[in-house]
Amino acid sequence: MSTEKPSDKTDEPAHPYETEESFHPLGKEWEDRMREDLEDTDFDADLGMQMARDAQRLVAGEISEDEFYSEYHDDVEEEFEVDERPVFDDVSGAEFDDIDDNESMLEALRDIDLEGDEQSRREVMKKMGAGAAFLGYGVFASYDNGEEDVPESISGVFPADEDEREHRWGMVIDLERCDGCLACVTGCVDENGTSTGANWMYVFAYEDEDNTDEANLLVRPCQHCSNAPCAKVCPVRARHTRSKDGLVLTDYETCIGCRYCQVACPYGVNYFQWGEPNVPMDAIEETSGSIHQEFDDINSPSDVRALDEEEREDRLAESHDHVYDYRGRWVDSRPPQGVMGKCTMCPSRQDGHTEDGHGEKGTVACMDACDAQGMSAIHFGDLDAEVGDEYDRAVRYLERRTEERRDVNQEQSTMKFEADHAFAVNAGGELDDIDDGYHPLYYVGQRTDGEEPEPDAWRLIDEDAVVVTDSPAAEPADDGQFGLSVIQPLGGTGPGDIGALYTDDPEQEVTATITYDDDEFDEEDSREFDVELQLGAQTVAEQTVTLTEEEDEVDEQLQTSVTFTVDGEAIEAPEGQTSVLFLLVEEVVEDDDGDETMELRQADARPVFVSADRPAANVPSVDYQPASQDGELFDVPQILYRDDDELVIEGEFQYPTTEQSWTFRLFALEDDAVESDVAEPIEYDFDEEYVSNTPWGGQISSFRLLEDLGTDPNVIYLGNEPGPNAEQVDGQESGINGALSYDQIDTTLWGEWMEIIDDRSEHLQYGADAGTTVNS
Amino acid sequence: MSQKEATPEDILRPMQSTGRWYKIIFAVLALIAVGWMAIWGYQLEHGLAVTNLSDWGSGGGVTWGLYIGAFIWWVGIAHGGIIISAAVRLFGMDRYQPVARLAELLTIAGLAMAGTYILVHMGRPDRVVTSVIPAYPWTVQSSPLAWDITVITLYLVLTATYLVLTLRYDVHRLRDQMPKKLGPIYSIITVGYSKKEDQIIERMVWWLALGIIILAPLLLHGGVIPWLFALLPGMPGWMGAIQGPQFLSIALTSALAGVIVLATGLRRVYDWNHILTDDVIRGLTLWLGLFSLLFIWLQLQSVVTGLYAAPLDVAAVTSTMVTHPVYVIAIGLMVVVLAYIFAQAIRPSVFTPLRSVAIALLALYATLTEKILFVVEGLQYPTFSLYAGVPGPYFPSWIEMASIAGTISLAILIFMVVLKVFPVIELHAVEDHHDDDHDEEVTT
Repeated sequence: MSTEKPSDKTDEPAHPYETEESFHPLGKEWEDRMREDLEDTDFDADLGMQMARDAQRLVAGEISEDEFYSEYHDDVEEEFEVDERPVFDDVSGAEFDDIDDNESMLEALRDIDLEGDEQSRREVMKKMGAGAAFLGYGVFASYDNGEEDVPESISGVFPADEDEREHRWGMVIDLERCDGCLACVTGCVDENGTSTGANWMYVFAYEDEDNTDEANLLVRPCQHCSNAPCAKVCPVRARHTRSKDGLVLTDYETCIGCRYCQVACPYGVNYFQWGEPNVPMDAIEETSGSIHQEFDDINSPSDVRALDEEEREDRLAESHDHVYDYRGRWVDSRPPQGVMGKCTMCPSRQDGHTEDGHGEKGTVACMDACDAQGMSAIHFGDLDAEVGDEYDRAVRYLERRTEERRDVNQEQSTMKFEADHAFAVNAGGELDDIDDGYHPLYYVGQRTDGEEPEPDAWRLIDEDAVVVTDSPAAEPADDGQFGLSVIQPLGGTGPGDIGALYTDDPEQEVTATITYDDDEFDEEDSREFDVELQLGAQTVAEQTVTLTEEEDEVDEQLQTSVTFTVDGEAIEAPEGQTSVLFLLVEEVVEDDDGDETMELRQADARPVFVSADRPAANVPSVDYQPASQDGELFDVPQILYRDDDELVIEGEFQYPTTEQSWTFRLFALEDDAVESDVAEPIEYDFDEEYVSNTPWGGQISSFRLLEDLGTDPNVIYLGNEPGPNAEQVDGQESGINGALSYDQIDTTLWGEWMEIIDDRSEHLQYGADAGTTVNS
Repeated sequence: MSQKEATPEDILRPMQSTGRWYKIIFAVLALIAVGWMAIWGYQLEHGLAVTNLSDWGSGGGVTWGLYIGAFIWWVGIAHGGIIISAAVRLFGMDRYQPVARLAELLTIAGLAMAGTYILVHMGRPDRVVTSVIPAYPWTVQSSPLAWDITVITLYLVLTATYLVLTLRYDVHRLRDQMPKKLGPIYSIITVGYSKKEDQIIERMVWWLALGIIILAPLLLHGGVIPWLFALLPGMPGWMGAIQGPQFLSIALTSALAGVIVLATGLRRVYDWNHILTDDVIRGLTLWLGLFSLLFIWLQLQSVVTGLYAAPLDVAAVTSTMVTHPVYVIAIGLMVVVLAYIFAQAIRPSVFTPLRSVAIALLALYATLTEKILFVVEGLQYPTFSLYAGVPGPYFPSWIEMASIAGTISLAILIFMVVLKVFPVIELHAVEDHHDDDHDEEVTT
């Protein structure tokens, strides 16, 4: 009998099934029956019951299998003289047929026939001892990798198998969103205190004349490959892959600076610390956070590793440490002299040190910076996750960008033909039947194949919104000189730029700007205008405005703004409807004979919603079924005038095959949801174009860099892949809107020590003059 | 052929007196070596930023340069040396027995210099022991550098064992004619020696030689050293199966060249023309020709493969290589070497020892520069060439170039020290000398 009574082990917390009466889910009676059965044997019933209780705790997940098996080893051996319970590390000779992939180890082991292998297991147990079983467990995990069990202090070169690991950190980078602003580069430098020229995050602007006329961008962090050549080649295993989440990191304490990882990496993501780092370590500790600063008794990496796991976690989190990871290894922020560094994907964040409550887990500094810029080109997350899981940002974005547009009959999805349509608005006086106000506009079609269209069978191709009205008796003024600014925006389901005029407000302000080119003023120092605000047919405000060269000159133009005060109570237009507010200007007009007269001309027009209260303008709509093919309307004006019979609205539609025949309409929707024709289709220009043989929906192309080298990178790109003859160009000179050069950006935190540059070799100067300062 | 009989006294001559020239040369070389150490100290303080190396990629440079190129060169000489010695023993090439120990010593010196270069090129040499050893059981499974460390250590042990075992015979017999104050060293070498062991040692050393001959091409300079480069798909200038044979051919070329220079130089100083005969030098030169031919032939394979219809990345590096002046000169020199040796083969009267030394020096220069270029160009032309900083320019800094002078000086110094301690020609080679008269005409 062991000296420790089984009952002594009951001090641990009870598992969920345990009640006061019994530890077994089937209750006290069952427990008693089992005890009776045990007492019938020659063996220790107490031991048996205690083991049973702990087995329940194991099933409840309160203790690990290793703990369970090792805890009773001595007792079992004493009682039975042998311990033939399954040990995980020796699986040779066992039958695996019944193992299901989804089973836990415990369930799986139940299925194994272990009878044939008693001898070797006992031997293994003798050799390794119970404690070694903990390590042995790891072998099973990496079995499929073909990699021997590697202790945590050394670390392996692959992530653990998918069912063993917690995450597979990676990125989805949308190159079509990137604008080359290099905010990510700055963000990374600020986060890590890297040295001048060590651009862990890097963005190429490049030209690829074989493939595109314009320049493109490529964002290049470390790819954190699942088959990382850099980790494999490290002779001291300083460069390694964390098994729990696949991060490829460098242990700055172990690295000997041989630079073989840099040589083996095909992507060029490594940056060696050639000389003294620019940013001093205590600056990093102070600014980014350090366990050393917070705790006086922790002064070296070995001190950090010496702590037990929980205490280390607590202390690292408390000090918001940005240097050590959860294993206590020095892997984060910039490396010291003579050591290699590269993008780390921010392990301090992934381990939950940087912000309370693991707030920054699942984020990286470069992504934050890109989001802050409004680009959101970088999406970091767990690539093992499915949409809906934690840290699914990357996979969620990927799915959204690559999903099919519509569910389509595969038969139709191989070819596309485009047809251009044109609609003559109001050619048959259609707008006369439509009330003043705001109306949704629908471009619909249906497949008729020569028959008459059915009224309920229209499918929606595109939609827009318009306001219908009569225009004032005024010809349009020259474009661009007069502009009405938007009045208070309206909520609800109307378009965003409909303003509001309130009938209970006697003093509403409407502003207009007047801009004139300077050369119009050659002979005069000032000019006078009569400007009028007309709501529908009613003049609601008027003013005289003077523009002088002296006071109103702005950038070689003359500009002034005019504020009208509108008396809402005097408005005659009907409430609850959208009307149009016109800006009219008396302007000098030259007729054919060269005589000049002053004429009232329409300078601008905006839809406004007239109302007593502050409503939401909920406009009627109809739920059409979407058409199975794509199409769109182009350049739909905001206001349709009833007296305009020259307006043509164009649209485009894509057919899968020329054998179909469709009929199209342009509808406006009345308040009572009645569809009214707005226009007659006048052209049916069939443009046959073989577009592609790929599935419908035009999936965006995604790629990984250098994929056929077998590195299994964890960065997925959306957009163009650079071809073999692509060449990098300077960001600012690339012609990409918003792209910057590296000398235009700078760190916000470390400016007194380092600057951001591109070509590091220029900075690592060593001249013939031995007195030259050696930079790093 | 020979005028005199070789005697054991001949091989003891270096140990018995030290001339003025020895001291002068020693002093000069020591100065150079120490001077370089000081420069290395400067580098240790300021870091590798003092070289002209930089990160490849956006860093606009290359990360391995002269140090690694020179490392390969020294390791090649080292491997070649012991292969020569082992071959002499295994294939019973008695004619070359006098150079066998010189070749072994060349290996020791070469390995010492190669090891020095490893320390010089590392960012943190202070950690080499503490970092390598704990991780070794795992890194040796995955890292070509770890294989490198293993195999070079094995090689050093094999060579040292080989050397010590064969020294025992010599030291025991010649002890009383060797400097008394080195007595303790001799005692250690000959500890437990009895004449009975001679036969056994002969056997052992034969097996060692066999092991070395097998290991060398498979694992050493035809194996793990080229594998450092040849296994990396991102560097098309390096990747490929030809590096194994290529490196081996260079090793033997440079080692033979080294032995020729050593033998010719030493025989002149110590009056050993009857031991290290013209036949020996001529024969070594012909062997040099064979391996030079192999080297050129393998280069031809790489060039033709890389230019004809190679993938773009391979074509880029090969086309740059063949037009690079360093390469053109190196290959040109090797062609000159070959042409001369060919002439010497057809017409033996062309041979003079001085000419052999000259072409040996050319071969040494050519192999060194070719190896440095190999390392540098490999890194300048990676597959991922999108970077504006690729190819990144590189020319060794004078700090790096000083290491060549430093290591050559150190290697010679090692020889000069050994000259005073042990006989650099095997006693067996001079004992059986009377058989030399009956040697057959040189047919290599």
